[in-house]
Amino acid sequence: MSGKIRFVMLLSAVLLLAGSSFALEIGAAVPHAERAMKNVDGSMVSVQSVKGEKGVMVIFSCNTCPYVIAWNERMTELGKKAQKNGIGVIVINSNDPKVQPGDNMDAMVEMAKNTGYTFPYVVDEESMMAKAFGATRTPEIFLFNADGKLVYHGAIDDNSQDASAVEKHYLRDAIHAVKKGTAIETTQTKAIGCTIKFHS
Amino acid sequence: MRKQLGVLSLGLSLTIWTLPLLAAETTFSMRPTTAAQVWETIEEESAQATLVNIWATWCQPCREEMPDLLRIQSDLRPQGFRLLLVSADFLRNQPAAESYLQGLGVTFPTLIKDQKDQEFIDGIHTSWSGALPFSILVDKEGNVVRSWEGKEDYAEFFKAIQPLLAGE
Repeated sequence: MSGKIRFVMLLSAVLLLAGSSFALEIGAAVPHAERAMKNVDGSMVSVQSVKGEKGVMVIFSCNTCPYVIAWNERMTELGKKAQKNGIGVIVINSNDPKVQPGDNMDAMVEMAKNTGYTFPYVVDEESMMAKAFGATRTPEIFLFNADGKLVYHGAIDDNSQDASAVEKHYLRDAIHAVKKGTAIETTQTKAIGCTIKFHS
Repeated sequence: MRKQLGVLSLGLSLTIWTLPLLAAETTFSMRPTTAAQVWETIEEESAQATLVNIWATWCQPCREEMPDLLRIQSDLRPQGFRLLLVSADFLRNQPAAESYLQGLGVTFPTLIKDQKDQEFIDGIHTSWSGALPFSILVDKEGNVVRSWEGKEDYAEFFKAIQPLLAGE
């Protein structure tokens, strides 16, 4: 391989890395676990405050993304399932309502009520939590075990469009594994979603 | 007379040969695609530089950058640049995606994702997290030289594309 080609490949790798985003690695602890965020019921809630004996599930979401809407029912049911299995749940909206008006608090209150959330739905001021987690889109799941270590990151399942056609239930299987304290087969997945509209 | 007939038939032959190509280039279409087929399309077209843009009608940043993308296509096409738009709308919303692009005056072939997310994302580029919009710039050898996750503007795209067209 010529020196010129090696240089081009190295430059490409650097540029690609510059363009790619950081994400919390498997095994990492919850960033800013004690950070208090405003819930739709007016209370202040942190990830630490909702953590269950088996772990905690952090979901970056919003009101407006069609992928959130497509997955919302499944996400809500899995959230309830997680809670029943000792895993705390918190849904975080990191969008700047000035950029995405549909993500203001009033709309969040309505979303939580209409969907039947049994867990907090909170505002991430300054998008600090999203930046700390390396979250880039909605919905995006971070599941931590009883030791507070990240064990699953990514999508709810493999089919946003059709719940009846799901073949791989990534999050459901991960919740089962966390409940039992066993290893998770697929620890990271990707899915298309809406970019988080970060506060500038 | 023979010379005139020869010129006429040469002109007719050239027209018949180039018309399908011209028609393809000025005819809007949206074809379902997998990631592998996106790469096949890039290879078949052999452009000096190809910008693949993954977008969706419901993606506000995608809509905001679309006019700049279309302007780049219009400005740099004569130099061998190709914009390849790939909609990530659900297939059942293809009519809305088509209507949106046609409303913007798009008159070239485009694609729409027809593959599960995980396979599609990794097949397009492993650096992509799945967030939209996402763009990759591919040189004439098929190498990805730049990627962008999130909205970009004309100046940023132009800066990256121009050197590939100048043969740098």
